[in-house]
Amino acid sequence: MSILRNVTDLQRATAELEDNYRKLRQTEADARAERDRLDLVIDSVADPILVTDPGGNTVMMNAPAEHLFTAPEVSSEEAQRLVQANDAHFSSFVSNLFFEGGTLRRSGSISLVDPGTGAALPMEAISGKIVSEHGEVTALVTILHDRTEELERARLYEELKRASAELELKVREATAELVRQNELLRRSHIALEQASALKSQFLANMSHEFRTPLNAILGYTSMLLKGVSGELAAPQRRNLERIDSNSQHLLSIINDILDITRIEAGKMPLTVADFPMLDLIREVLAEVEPLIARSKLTVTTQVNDALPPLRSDRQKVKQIVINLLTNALKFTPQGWVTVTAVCDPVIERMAIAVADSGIGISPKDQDVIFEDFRQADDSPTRQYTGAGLGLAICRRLATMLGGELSVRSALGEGSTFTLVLPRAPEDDR
Amino acid sequence: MMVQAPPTLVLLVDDYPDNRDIYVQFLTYSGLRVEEAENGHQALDKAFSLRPDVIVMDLSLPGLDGWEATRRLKEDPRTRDIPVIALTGHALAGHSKGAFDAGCDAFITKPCLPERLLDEIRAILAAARPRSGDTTP
Repeated sequence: MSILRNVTDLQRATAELEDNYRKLRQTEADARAERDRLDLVIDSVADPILVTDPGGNTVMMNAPAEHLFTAPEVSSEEAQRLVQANDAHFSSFVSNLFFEGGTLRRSGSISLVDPGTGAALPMEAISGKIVSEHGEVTALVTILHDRTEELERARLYEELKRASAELELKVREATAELVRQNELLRRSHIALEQASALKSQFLANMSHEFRTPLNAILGYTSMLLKGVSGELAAPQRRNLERIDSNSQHLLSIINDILDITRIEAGKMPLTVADFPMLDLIREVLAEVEPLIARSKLTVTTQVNDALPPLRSDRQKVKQIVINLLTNALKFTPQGWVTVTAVCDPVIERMAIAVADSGIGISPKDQDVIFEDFRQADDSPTRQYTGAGLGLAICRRLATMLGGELSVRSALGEGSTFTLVLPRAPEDDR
Repeated sequence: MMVQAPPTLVLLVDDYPDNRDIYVQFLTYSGLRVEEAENGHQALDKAFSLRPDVIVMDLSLPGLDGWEATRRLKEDPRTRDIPVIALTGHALAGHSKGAFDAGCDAFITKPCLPERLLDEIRAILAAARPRSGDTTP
């Protein structure tokens, strides 16, 4: 009976023991699982993590830390030396911390070396103390963070700053140079303007000086032709007429030069008034009638009766139209010359066109003819006035009047010169 | 009663001898009397003493210029009514205005043919005829 009870007790005790053992194993398994999970977590962190006990022994480290502080069985002496060096650096950093009271957290720098590659690893170490319920420091957790990239970025940033400063200096130098060049340009511009003004003044003075003796030549010739000094024989009259026409030609050249210098010097005032275009064209035709008669060309005009009056400088418009018409007559051996005037009521512009069936102007010469002292053909075959200044003056006058003068032409197919003028001056509408 | 007017007397002021010569020749040939002056002071002296019917005045003169001479003529009661035709080689704008401001009655730009000067003298005398005193009632 008592044996039976003993047996029963024993059985119970055994069962209890087994139960406790099972629980223990379970707890052990749980702890291992917990530890594995923790290992997994800290291993998954890329930064090396080390746990150190107060004795300075490393009790735990993750894989990245192992790479720095443990040498594999088969590794070079060099690698082993580097691992030892890393360990020494780390130990020195950690032992300092244990003796420091107070702060739970601290960061600092340590220079380690990658044992695999020998590359320097500037590390930032952040350590935290683990303290027991009784206030004792039981362990120290240290996370190392590789600052190579950060330092590289800082280096690049410094370089960038230096390059930027260099660039700024260069820009400042270039700006200063530009200012200097600008000043030189401004000075040479002033010098050029002065030279140009002097040239204009010189031309104006010369023209004036030319006109005084020319006045005498024209005067004496005119008197001789009038018979003031007695009757003339036919050959004398003929020769005097040659002197007269050549003097007139010379005078017109001098007058052209004076016109140019006056326009350039801004001494060509405008006299603006309303006038009918048709009247002006009739007047021009009447004045060049001797040329028209001699030319045997068909000269026609096309002017709309309903054309509004033009508000401009009549004398200057007339000067342009006479010039265009005499040019057309001069350079048209046969055929026709037409003068047209039309007005665009929308844009308030009037166009006066002189078209001819003459020799025409090649495209390359179409700019040349508007330049001072230039003609498309520089041969001395001119019959009428001019020194190659006519169109240059016309274009300047057209510009003064707020308009423009253009040409459309082809060699052998005649030319059309078109003067476009505002119906009234801009500030007058 | 008709009075035979004496030939018109022109005072010609110009510093360029050949220009004077042309105009003197032509105006004389055309039946006018001409007196000459080659500078402003001479012009004033002759104008005051001779009392011409018309004065042709070159504006650019040495010493006392044509503008100043004209101004003095127009300020003096003896010569105030004598018409002055300004003559200049300067075709510049402003010259004609300056001439009229000085009191010139007409303005001609050189080169000026002698017949044109004669036309101008006749035109200005026709306009000023009542002044000369030989009016026909």
